[in-house]
Amino acid sequence: MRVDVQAYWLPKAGNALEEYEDAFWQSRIPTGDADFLRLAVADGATETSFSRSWALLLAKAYCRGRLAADNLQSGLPKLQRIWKRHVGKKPLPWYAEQKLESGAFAAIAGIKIGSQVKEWSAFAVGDCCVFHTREEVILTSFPMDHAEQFNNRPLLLSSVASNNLGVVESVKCISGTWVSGDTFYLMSDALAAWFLRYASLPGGDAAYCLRTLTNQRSFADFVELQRNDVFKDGEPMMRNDDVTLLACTIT
Amino acid sequence: MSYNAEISRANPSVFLFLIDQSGSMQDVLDPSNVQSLDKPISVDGRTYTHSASGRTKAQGVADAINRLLRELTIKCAKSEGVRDYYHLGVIGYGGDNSANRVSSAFVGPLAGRELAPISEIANNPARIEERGKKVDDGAGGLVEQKVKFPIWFEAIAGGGTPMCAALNKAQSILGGWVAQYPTGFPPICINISDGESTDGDPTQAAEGVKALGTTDGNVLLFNIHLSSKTGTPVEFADSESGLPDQFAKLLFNMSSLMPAHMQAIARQEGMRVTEMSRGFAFNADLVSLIRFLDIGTRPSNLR
Repeated sequence: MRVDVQAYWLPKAGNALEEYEDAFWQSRIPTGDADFLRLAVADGATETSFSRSWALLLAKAYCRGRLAADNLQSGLPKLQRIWKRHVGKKPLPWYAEQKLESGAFAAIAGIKIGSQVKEWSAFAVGDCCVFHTREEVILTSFPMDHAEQFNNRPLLLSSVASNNLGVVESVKCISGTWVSGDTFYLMSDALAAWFLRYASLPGGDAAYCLRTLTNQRSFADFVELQRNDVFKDGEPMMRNDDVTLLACTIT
Repeated sequence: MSYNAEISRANPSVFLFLIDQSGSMQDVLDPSNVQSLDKPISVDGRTYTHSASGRTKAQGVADAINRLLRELTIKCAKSEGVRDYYHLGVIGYGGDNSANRVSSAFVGPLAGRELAPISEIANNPARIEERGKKVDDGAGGLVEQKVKFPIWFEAIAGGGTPMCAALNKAQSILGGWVAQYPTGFPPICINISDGESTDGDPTQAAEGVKALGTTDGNVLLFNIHLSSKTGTPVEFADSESGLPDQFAKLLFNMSSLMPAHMQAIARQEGMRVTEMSRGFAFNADLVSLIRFLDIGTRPSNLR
C-alpha cells in the first residue's frame, strides 16, 4: 500500500497561529503488509481552556493505539492525568484556576486503515468527521451526514472524568473497505459542515475542491474565500472557526 | 434582527449593568424574626414599623452582580489570559433625597470606570473571597468545593431610585458604543432593581435604550426584579400573570424578548422558554444567561 497524506490547518480568522486549538496526528506510514495507518483530527472547544493540549493528547493517543472506541474507559484516565500534570505546572490567576476545574473538552475522529486487508474502521466523538471518497464521489460521511447536524453544543470528551458521564456511550463507530485510488478526508467541524452543505448543492463538487489543494497557501486562500462568501440564504459558506483537513489517498 | 454577529476581540460586545442602590434595597429579601418596633422610624423618607433579619436586597444584588461578572470572566478566560470578547460596566443608582446619584459602581482599582474590557475586570477585583459551592462528585452525590469569589461591587443602599436617570445614562453610554461598533453584536443592558422608580415611569427611558441598535439587532434590555414578596423564582418569564406586584409587571413589560438563538440554547439546556419569553427574572440572578452567549464551541456536557 502506498499512502499520500497531506495536512492543512488554519486558525480562526482574527486569532493568532498559537491560538489554533485543533490538533492532528498520524502514525508511521505502514512498511509491512500486516500494518495499519492511523490518522486523527481533534478539535479543542473554544469555551474551555488548555483544550489544544487536550486535543493533541487525544489525537496522538489514538494514532499510537492507546485510545480506541472500545478502550475509552481504560485509556482516558492516563491521558487525563498527563493533561492535569501539564496544566498544573505554574501558578494561575483566579479565573484560569477556576476554569481549569471544568476541564478541557475536545471532539475527535480517527481512522485506522489496514494495509494487508483492505479494510478501514473509524470512530468519532463529537463533530470531527471522516469522509470516504472514490473518484470524487462521497461514499461515506461519518458521523455527520447533513450540514444541519452541526451546532455549537456538541457532546465532547473531557479531561475531567466526571464530565464524561454518557459521553463514552455516545461514541460512534463505522467500518468499510477501500480500493486503490480512494481518498479519505478527516476534518474539524467548520470544514466538514461546509463540505456537506456544498456537496448537497446542484453541481457542488466538494471533493473536487479539496482535490485541487496543493499546499498550505492554497488551503488558506480557499478557506478565506469560503468564509467571506455566503450561500443563497445569506449564511456564511464556512463558519469562522479553526479549520483542519487531513487528506489521505491510498494507491 | 438576527443577533448572530460574531463576538470576537475585533468586534466585542458590551454588558452594562444598572444597579438599584436605593434605600428600599435595605429591605430584607426573605424576612425572618420580624419584630414590631416600639415606635415607627423614618429612613430616607420611608416609615418603618417593624424590624427583620436576613439577607437584604442590596446584598442579593451585590451577590448577583459579582456572580455575573465572575461567570462572564471565566467564560472568556483561556490558558493565556482573558480574551476581550466583552466590555463591561456597572452603573449604580441611588443617592440622597436632594440629589440623584447615577455613576460607576465599581469599587477597588476600577472605581469610576463606566466601561472596561473584561481582561481589566478580571485582573482588578477589589478583593477575592473564598466561598463554598456544592458540586457534582461524578458518583451521584454532592461535595463542597471552595471557589474563588472576586468582589467588584459592594452592597450599598440609600436614598431614592432614579431609574429613569439610570436608563438615560445607559442610553448615553451605549449610544457611544453602537456608534463605534455599528455591525457588532448588540449590547446587553441588565437592570437589577426592586422596581420602585422615584423619578417617574421608566417605560419611556427603557424604550430609548431599546431603540438603540446595530445592524445585527437592537440593544437588549433585561431586568432582574428582587422582591420581598414570596413567590417562586422565575427566569425568562413569558407572561406577567403570576408576577406578585405592579413593580414586577412594570419591569417585565420593559424587558426585551429573548432572541431566537438564546431561546434555542435555553431549550437545549432543558429550560422552559417560549417565543414570548423575555429577559426578565424574578428573585433569580440570570446567571444562566451567560451560558446562552455564543463565543464559540461550548460542550453540551460542560456545566
